[in-house]
Amino acid sequence: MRVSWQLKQKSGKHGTHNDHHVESRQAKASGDSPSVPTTICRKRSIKDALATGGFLALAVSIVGVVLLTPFVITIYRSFFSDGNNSQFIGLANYKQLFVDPVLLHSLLNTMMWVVGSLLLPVGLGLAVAVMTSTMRAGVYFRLAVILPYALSGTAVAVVGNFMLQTNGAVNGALGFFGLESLQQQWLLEWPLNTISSILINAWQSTGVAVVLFLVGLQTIPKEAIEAASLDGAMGWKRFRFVTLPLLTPATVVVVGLTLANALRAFDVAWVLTGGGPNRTSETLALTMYRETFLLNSPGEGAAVAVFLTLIVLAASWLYLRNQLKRIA
Amino acid sequence: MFAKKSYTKKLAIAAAVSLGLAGTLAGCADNSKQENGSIALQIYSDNPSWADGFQAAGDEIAKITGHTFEAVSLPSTENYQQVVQASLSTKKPGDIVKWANGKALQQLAATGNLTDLTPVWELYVENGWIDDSLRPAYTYEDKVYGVPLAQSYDVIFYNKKLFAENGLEVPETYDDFTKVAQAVKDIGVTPLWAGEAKDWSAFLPYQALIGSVSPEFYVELTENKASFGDAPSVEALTLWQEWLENGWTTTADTTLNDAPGLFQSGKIAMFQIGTWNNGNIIATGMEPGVDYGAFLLPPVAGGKQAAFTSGSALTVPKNAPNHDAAIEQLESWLDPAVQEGWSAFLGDTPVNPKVVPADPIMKELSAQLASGDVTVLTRYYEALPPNLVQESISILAGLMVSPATLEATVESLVATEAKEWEAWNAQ
Repeated sequence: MRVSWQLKQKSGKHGTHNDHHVESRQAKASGDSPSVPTTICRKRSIKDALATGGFLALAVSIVGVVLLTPFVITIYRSFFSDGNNSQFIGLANYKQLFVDPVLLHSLLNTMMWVVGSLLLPVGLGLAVAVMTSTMRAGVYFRLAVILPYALSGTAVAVVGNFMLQTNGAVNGALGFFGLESLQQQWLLEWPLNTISSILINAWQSTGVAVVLFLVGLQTIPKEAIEAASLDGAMGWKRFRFVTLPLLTPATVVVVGLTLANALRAFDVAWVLTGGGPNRTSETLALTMYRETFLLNSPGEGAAVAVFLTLIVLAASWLYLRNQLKRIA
Repeated sequence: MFAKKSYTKKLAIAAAVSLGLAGTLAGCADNSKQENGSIALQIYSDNPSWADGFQAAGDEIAKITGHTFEAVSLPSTENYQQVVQASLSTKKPGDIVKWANGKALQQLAATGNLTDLTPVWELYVENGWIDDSLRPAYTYEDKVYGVPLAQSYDVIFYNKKLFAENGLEVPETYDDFTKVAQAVKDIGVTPLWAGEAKDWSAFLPYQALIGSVSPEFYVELTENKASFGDAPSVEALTLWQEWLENGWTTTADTTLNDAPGLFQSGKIAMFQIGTWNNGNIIATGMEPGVDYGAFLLPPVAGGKQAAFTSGSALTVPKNAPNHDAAIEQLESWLDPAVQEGWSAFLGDTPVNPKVVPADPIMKELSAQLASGDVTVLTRYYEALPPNLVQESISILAGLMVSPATLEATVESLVATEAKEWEAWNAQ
C-alpha cells in the first residue's frame, strides 16, 4: 500500500495512462496473473488512441485543407513561368529573386521590421507590464497601451497616415512648437518610411506583449520575490536577476510571436505606404502580394511566398529550439 | 432515459443550427432576385462615389429591362484589381465588372473569363450611340470585351476666382504656364496637384509633359518604337523635375481624395486630373464654368495640343451569376435617356454622341476636341502593357519624391521597359 502511494505520487500529473502501468506493476508484485490487466490496458490504449485520433482528426484535416494544401500548391506553382502559357521552369523563379534588387531591399526592410519589433513592442511591453503590475493606477496605464490592440492593422495605419503625412498632425505639431527643422517626409523617404511603419505598428502590437508579460508575472511565485527582497535585491537588480529569468516562459512566447509577425509584416505597411514610393518600403510579404496580384506574376509571387515561409520557419525553429531547451 | 432525452435534445439543437446555417448560406447565394422577377445586378467598381450614379442609371434602365444596379465598390484601385482578378474564374465574380480599357482590358480578356460583347457593340453602332473609332480600345483578337463606362479626358482644372483676383490668364503657351505657376507660388498658394507617389496617379505629370513635348513620340513610346531613354522622354522628365524643384506641385503624399477639397478652399490653384473627377469637384460646392474651368497643357514647342483620353470599360464575366440579364442591361447602357443622367452625374463628356453635355466645361472641351486642333491620345495607363504601367509608375513616384534622381529614374525606366515589353510580346 505504501509502495503504491509512492508510485502514484511519482507519476504526479502524468494521468491515467501511467496509472495503468502502476496498477500493472502492483499486480505483478502481488503475484496475480498479469494477463487480465495487460489486456485491459491494451484495450484502453487502443480506445485512448482512437479517441485521441478522433479529436485530432477534425483539427488536422482543417489545417490540412486550409493551410497545407495551399502551401503545397504554392510550392508547385513556384516552379512554373508566368503568363498565359505557363511552363515548368525549375528554379528560375528562385534564381530571379536573388538578382532582383527590389527583393534584396525588401529583405533588408523585413530585417528592420524584425529588429524594430523586437526592440519596441517586446521591450516596451515588458517595461509597461513590469512597471505597472504593482501600481494602484497601473490598470489605467495598461488599458491605454492595450486598447490599440483591439483595432485592426488597417485602422491603425489610417490613423498613422493622418499623423505622418507631410501636411499631417506630427509635422503640424512640430511647426506649432517652432521645431520646423525637425519636420520630415515621414512616409516618403527611405529608411524613414520603414521606421515610421514600424513605430505605428509598435503602437498597436505593444498591447499583446503587455498582456502576455502580465500573465507571466502572475506565475512568478511571491516567495521568490520576497526571498530576493530579504536578501537585499531591489529595483533593477531584482528585475535583472530574479524577475526576468522567471519570466523566461512568457518571454519565449512573446519573442516567438513577434518574430513571426514581423517577418510577415503586411497590413500596416500596405495601408501606410503601399510599399512605396518606388518600392522602397516593401517587405517580403508586400513583394509577394505585388508580384502575385498587381503584376500578375503568380510564379514569382509563389517563389517569394515559399522563400518567406522558409525564413519564418527557420527563424522560429532556431529560436524556439534553443529557448524551449532552456525552459525544460 | 435521461441520457436518451439529452441526446435527442442535442440532436434537435444541431439540426436547428444546421438548418439556420443552410438558410443563411442560401440567402447569401442569391439575394438579387426580387419577387417581380427584376434583378439587382451587382456592378463592381473601384469608386465608391459612383454608387448614387449607378443607382440612378439602374433605375432608368429598369424602365427598359426591369433590372436595376447594386453598386459594389472597393476604394483602393490596387485592392480592386486583385479582387477582380482573383474572383473572375470563381462562381461569384459579380454581374458587371468595371475595368480599364486598352491593354489592361486585353490582358483580362486573354484569361478567357470575359464575355464577348461584340453584338452589344454592334447594337450601339446601329443605333448611333457610339463612335465606332473607339472600338480598338475595347477589342482583343477582333472581339469586343468591354463597353465604355465613360469617356474622359485628362485636363488641368483651374480656380477661376483665384486666377481673376491675381490677374492670371489661362496659359496659351508652355512659357505662359510656367509664369502662371510661379505667380501662384509667389502668392503663397501651391500651384498644382499633379498625382501622388503612393497611387496610380504618379504618371500624370510625365504623361502631360510628354504630350506637350511631342505627341508623335508618345505614340511611338506606347508602340515600343521609342524608348523612355530617348531625348523627348528625358526632356519631359527634366521639365517635371523643374516643377518639383520649384515647388509647383503639392507634396508627394497629398492624396487624390484630398485634392478636390484643397482646390475648393483655394489651397491649390490647379488640379490635373481626368474629367471623370469633375463630379467630385462639383460635390465640394463649386460651380463648373463659374468657379472653375479647365485647360489642356500647352505644347512646349508649339504645334498641336495633346488630350489624353481614357474610357473605363464595363465587362461581363463568363461566370456572372446573372449573365444574360447583365448583357441585356448593357444593351441599354448607352441609351440616351440613361447617358444623360449618367454623364450629368459624372460631370464628364458623354460617350453617346447624341447626348449633349450639360456641364459648361465639358461643352467647351467637346468643342475644342471637335475643332481638330487637338491630338487625342490614349492615356498612359491604358496605352502601355499593364505590368510596364505598374512598374514605371512606381519608378516615376520615386522621381516625384526625390527629383535629384533623374538619371537613375531614366536608367530604371529603360531597364523596366525592355523586360516588360519582352514579357508582353511573349504572351
